[in-house]
Amino acid sequence: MKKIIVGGGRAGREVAAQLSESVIIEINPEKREKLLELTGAKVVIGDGGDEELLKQVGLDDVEAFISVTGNDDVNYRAAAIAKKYGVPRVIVRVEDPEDKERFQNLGVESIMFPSKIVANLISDMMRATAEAAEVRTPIKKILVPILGKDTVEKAFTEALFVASVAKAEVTAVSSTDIARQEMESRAKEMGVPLKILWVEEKLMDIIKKHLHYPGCIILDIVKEHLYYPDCIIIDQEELGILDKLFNRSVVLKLIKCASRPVLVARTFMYYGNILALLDSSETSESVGRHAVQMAHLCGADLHLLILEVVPGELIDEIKKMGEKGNVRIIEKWVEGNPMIEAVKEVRSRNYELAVVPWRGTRVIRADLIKRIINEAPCSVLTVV
Amino acid sequence: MPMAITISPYILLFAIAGFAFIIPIISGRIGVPAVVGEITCGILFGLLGFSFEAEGRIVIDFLASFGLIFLMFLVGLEIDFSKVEVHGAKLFILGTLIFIITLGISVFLTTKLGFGLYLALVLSTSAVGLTVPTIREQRLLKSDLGQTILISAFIADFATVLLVTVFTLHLKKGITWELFLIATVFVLFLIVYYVGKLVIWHYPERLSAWFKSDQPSEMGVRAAFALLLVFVALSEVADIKAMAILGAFLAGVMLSLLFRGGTILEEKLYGIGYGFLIPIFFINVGMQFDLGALTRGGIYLVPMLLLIALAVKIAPSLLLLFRHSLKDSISAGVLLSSRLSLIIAMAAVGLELGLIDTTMESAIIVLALITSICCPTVFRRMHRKEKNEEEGGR
Repeated sequence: MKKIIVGGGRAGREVAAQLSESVIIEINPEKREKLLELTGAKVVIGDGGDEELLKQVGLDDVEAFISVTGNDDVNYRAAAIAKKYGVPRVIVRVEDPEDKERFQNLGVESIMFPSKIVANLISDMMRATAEAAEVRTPIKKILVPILGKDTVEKAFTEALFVASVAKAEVTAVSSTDIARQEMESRAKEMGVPLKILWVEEKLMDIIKKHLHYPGCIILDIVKEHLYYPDCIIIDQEELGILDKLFNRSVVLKLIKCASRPVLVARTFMYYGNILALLDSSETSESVGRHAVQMAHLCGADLHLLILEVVPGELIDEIKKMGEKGNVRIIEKWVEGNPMIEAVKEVRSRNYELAVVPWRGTRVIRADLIKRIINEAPCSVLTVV
Repeated sequence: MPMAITISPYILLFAIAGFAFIIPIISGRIGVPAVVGEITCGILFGLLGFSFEAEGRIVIDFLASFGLIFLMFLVGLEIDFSKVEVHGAKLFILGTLIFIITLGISVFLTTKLGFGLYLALVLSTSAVGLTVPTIREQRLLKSDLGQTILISAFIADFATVLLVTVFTLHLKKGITWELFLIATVFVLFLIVYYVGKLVIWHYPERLSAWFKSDQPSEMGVRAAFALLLVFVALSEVADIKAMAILGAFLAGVMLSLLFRGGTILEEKLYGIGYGFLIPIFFINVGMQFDLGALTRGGIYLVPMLLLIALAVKIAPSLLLLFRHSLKDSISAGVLLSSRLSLIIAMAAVGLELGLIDTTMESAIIVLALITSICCPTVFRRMHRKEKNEEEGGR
């Protein structure tokens, strides 16, 4: 299924380079040559806000519509047309955060604010005080275990996004058969320091062999290199029926023994809306903190799904952190069954990232967490 | 001579509903569980010589037996598996070990004294319904000790229901195909569980409305009844009362597993159960209480059962000494010794199958009354002292 990208500037080129089967619509004919250098991308010269042109390109079999021009009005018109023709996923870049409501009213799934992200970063730099440190990310070292060849496209991509906003370094652990050069050049483009640790055997095989090993084999490997990551970003795993029945999952195993945040990558872009599941368990404080930090870094909105009666201080604390980090927080108190409401929200496709406890708590069942980790339509950050 | 009343079932129901309304108010004042009040009220009815006839009997019998099934359903619903999930396999293994020792001692003592295996099973039960509120009240719900007691109580109740079913089925029919029915019930349980999880994952929007308070057609309650009756009806095929109880219990466990925390639905079900059906069961149990038989030569049964009931729970609790103080371990044993709904239900089943006689059933009811009042009180005292000591020490 093809992806339409409106805007062939730097952002559009970057997106097109990372997605297969993309069609770029660019108004400036002079950019055609440069765009044609992108392998696998089709280039159309014209106005991305023109309904006739978009119809000609074809909106029926489009998987995602991404509008990233520097002009909010063009992005608005383009997104409105895409919505009208029922494109399942519309992602837009919005320069002016005040424009947000207009886009939300359109029903656009993902809205990104590059200006807000940059503003948050700059204000972080300026406020190098203890207060700012509270909301600034503790994520400085990100570990990406490259489990399969295609992980370079997935977990690694998301790790670069997170690392670029968090100003963190990425360490990839991999066996020998990956595209080292490609990884290095992409990390360089995004300004992310990259280290690659090689292991002889295929990582997947090592982990599978040690599935019942009490320690964690990946962490053991990196510990040998005196490396202690703040966060692990891992690819989602394709599970067979038997694996599902017997809960055999490499990702779950990793989460169980990692004792640090693990992000299961599925979104491959900046997060615009983040969902945090909160209950009265002790982990909720940590869930809230990590969610605020991610929202702060990505300029995203944070939606708190409060599943049961929780101490008022918890919400106040999260709100306070949100205020300091310039994060808009939306509270939603659950009425009805907490598990069903949690599933409803996670599956609603309104969020790019869900932040959940790493294991079952009082209200959030272990089964539900496992399912969210394995099958949610968005990226999932599990928090210890 | 018992006074036989031939009155409309509605007047009877009215009388029971009236008492069911008054009893909790009185028992609340005295400080005993409402169930104790209901049974005592039933016993008083019996002593005064009331008994029902014909139509009234049929109606009350049916409602009481449905009350029993509903009670088991709610006992199952009370079991919260997330506790096992959160606290891991260690506590589960410890709880199972405690139960195995309980059962061992119980079998040993009852056979030594010349009673059947059924009594041993009956005496191995606990009372989840009493343990949970007592622990919650003492603020031990999150402590290691509290969790161990809860999980031990859950395991004891679950295992006895299962064992009683297997035992009675085997006794009544021998090793026949019907034993497979138990396996079928469990297979059905697993299937419903997996399908239920899939449905929750794929259709949360539809299910969501069932649990909201403003649902006009009460789909949640209807679904719960349907689930309950699927299991009960399947169990009825084997024509064994214990199996219907197992079915109801499993249906409750299922609901708890799938929708734990669906507070509004749970409250509605508690309302139907504890508000109407279950009091009828307990009052009826009290009415069948045979004080005469007990005083005519069965009275020795009460202290004997009491001793066994305490021994089979306190002795295995000493296993907790590995992690807790002697006082904590004994207090855990004391709290686990309390019996209430489940033991009375088991006694009712045993009586119906002729595995125990009326005297024994009455003795078991007295045992339940005594332990349900005394054990939680002793537990509270043991822990209150501890609190005072801590405060005094500061």
